[in-house]
Amino acid sequence: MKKMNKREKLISEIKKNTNNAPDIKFKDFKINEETVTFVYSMCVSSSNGINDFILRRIDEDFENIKKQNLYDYIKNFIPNNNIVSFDQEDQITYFIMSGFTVSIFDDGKLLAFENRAPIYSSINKSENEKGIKGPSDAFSENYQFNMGMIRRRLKTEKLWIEEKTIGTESKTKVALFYIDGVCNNNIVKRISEKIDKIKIKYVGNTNYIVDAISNTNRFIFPTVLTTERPDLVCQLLLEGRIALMTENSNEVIILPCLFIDFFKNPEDYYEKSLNVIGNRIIRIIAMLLAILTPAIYISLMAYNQEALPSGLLINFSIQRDGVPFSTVFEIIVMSFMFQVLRESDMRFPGKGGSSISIVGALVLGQAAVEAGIVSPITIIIVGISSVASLAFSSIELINSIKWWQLFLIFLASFFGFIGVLFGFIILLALLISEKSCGEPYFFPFEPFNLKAQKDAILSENEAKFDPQNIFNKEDTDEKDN
Amino acid sequence: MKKIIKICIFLLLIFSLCGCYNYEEINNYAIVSGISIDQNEKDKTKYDVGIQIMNAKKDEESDNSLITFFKASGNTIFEALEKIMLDSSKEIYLGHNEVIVINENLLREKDPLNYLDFFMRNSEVEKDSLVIIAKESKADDVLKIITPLETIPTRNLKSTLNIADNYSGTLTIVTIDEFISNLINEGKEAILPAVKIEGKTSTGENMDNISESNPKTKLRFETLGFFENNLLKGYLSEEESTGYNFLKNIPNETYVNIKCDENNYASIKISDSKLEENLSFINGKPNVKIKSDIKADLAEYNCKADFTKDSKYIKELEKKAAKKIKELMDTSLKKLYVENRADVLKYSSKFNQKKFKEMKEKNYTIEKILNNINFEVSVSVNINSTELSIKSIKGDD
Repeated sequence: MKKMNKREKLISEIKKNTNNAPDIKFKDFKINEETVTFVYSMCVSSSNGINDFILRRIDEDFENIKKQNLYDYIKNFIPNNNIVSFDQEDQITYFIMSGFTVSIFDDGKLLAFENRAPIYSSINKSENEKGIKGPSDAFSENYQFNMGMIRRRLKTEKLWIEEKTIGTESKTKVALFYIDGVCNNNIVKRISEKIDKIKIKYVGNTNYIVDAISNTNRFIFPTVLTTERPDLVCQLLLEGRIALMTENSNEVIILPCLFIDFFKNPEDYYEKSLNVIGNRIIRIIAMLLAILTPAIYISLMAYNQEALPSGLLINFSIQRDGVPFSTVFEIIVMSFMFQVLRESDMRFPGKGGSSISIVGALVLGQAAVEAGIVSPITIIIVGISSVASLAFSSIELINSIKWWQLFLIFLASFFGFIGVLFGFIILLALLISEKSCGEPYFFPFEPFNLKAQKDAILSENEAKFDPQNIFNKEDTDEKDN
Repeated sequence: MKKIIKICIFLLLIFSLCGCYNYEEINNYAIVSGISIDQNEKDKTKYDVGIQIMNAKKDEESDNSLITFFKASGNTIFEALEKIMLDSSKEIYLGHNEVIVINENLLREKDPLNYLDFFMRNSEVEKDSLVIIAKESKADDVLKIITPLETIPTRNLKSTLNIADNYSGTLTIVTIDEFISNLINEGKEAILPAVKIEGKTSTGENMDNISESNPKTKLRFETLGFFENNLLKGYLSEEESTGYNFLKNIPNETYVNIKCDENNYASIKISDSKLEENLSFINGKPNVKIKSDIKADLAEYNCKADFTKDSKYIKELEKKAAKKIKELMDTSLKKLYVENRADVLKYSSKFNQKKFKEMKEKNYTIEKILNNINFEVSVSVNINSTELSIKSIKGDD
């Protein structure tokens, strides 16, 4: 049997490792006793690119090639914007799977040409973080496009990108964006170390990485900001934050994140400051309403009747007359039904969603009251708290509000106002003691920083025109995430 | 382990501060809006206590609530309330009580301190409940009358009193804790507003009463009743009540009528007032100098005048008004301190506080001061504005 050269050995190895995958094609060219094999996967690389720029080129220029060294010709004259020369043999499949065409030479030299197929959705309008004013483009699943959207907005050379590949099976690229000189280098170092340590098989979304590097079990509120709007990312990068982008994910994660960030909206920077202050105050009140209304209602109905004005007390008392269940039960059942309604509305495909809302409104609202199962005020209270909790675009925040609502309902049903107060103190204590990437979560308020107030509840043009790193540059406590 | 102990201590504290034992749904309560106290006619040691419940049932047509009345008698107020609970099927809730109506005869015959202890001792009772005398009728009848405008009679009583206190100047609001503190303290006497039933009680109990445009039975506030030695002594007339309010320096929005020519009157509305009281002993006798400085607006003027031409009209009005107000104060003081010895303005206790040394030197007791007290009243009125018209619609002279 003829002795195999290095090229043939590699090819047979690929075939063996992939179990003769149907999409992986091998194309040999024999020139001057030398053979080169182009290996590519049909499904992730563009056939046009391979046909027009590699195969046809070699075919048409056949005579010319004969005069030269094959390797040099292919390396220098094949028109491609991303040619990678590498020698790790285990990287071959990675390149093939990510849409490269790999050429294997007899002596084992390896070259990879990028020929990705456009199997991504195009740049769409932001769906989850809607805004009336301002740019509405959102990140898509294309890693390159996403990077481009940030680059396009910040053309400075100080925008540094640190790229890593994680995931033993998925081999996903993760990029850390930060602005050199603005961002605290300790945070970058800490996050990049943590990413290196991640042991994961598959990275489905950016959240996989967040869950791997931070522990968010102790505290229900989200300690990272997930966004799909590049304008917000750029705004926050200039404040000294780090953006974390993953391949195949349309979400970018901002670290460190502050509690007040959830009350901000990228739109805030495109409006007059005074309007923005009003909107932010409304969002804060909405948060308090969402968390506190059911709990306060229960304590008023069951424990602290003296705190109600007489007129209201009579109304409440008469409205509740004939309702067989306790207030706590009513509230919990109605809140639960609302959550079910929301869930089914979100999951139901296509146009069916509106029929669910009609059924929900009629059955859960009007009919339940008329049948005397719940009192009308309960519907109002559940309505207020649910609508208020939906004033935020972050789904993590909405879910965490739900838990705190339940926690306070529980306390209120046992201890009345004292319980609500106690629960709220716990909430505040947790908010204040929490850290995101070593930075205090409740930052501009605790620890109090006068300079950072310009873009907290207030929104001043100064903060818009000259964003500063609001975190102190000294090294912070490392033990918390 | 330490953490667990800490949490346990915390929970224990919370349980002991406020807990499930207090859990009571709002619709399991019978919310009391008014309490009436009468003397039992057969057994003089017993009290008839009536309560008006404001969330009794729902009016099917208008969603308004309707009231119910319960009554029981007992040797103490508490006993009577417990007896009511047997009838009412719901727990009585006193936290939103608005009015306590006490029978006139009971107040005349028995010191209220004999039966009001419950209201201070119980933690649930609203301490802002208003105290009202039921004049010339039984106290429980007052709670039975259904009134127009407000379907809950006691709320009607309360808001009428509030309006009267703010605008007419003939009434005053007294809460239960004020009333009791006036009774307890030496040198202070209580004063209470009195309510009267106009018309028959039996028609007033019926819902038909308020379906007429002019209800046959109404509740009407009569003036103020004053106490002497913790017993109801008598009533002030309307003018004397106005005088009393001027002396207490709460005459805001009160009006005073002044004769501006032979047949016609003018009205002024008080907008601001200052009162200075100067306590001293003159010739060994206690003397109170009262200086009242009143600002007013002209509310109505039915005589001929042009205020822009001459300031004499205003000056004259001010003089007459001052004289009138002085008269009001004097008659009120005469009624309270000369004809009776009802120290509702608390002058003797003020002497006790401020002139304690001189009192001891001159061997005066609180009682003796009350017997010898003298008043000097001076009033000045300043009319600030004539409102929209600068002259009378009848024109100049």
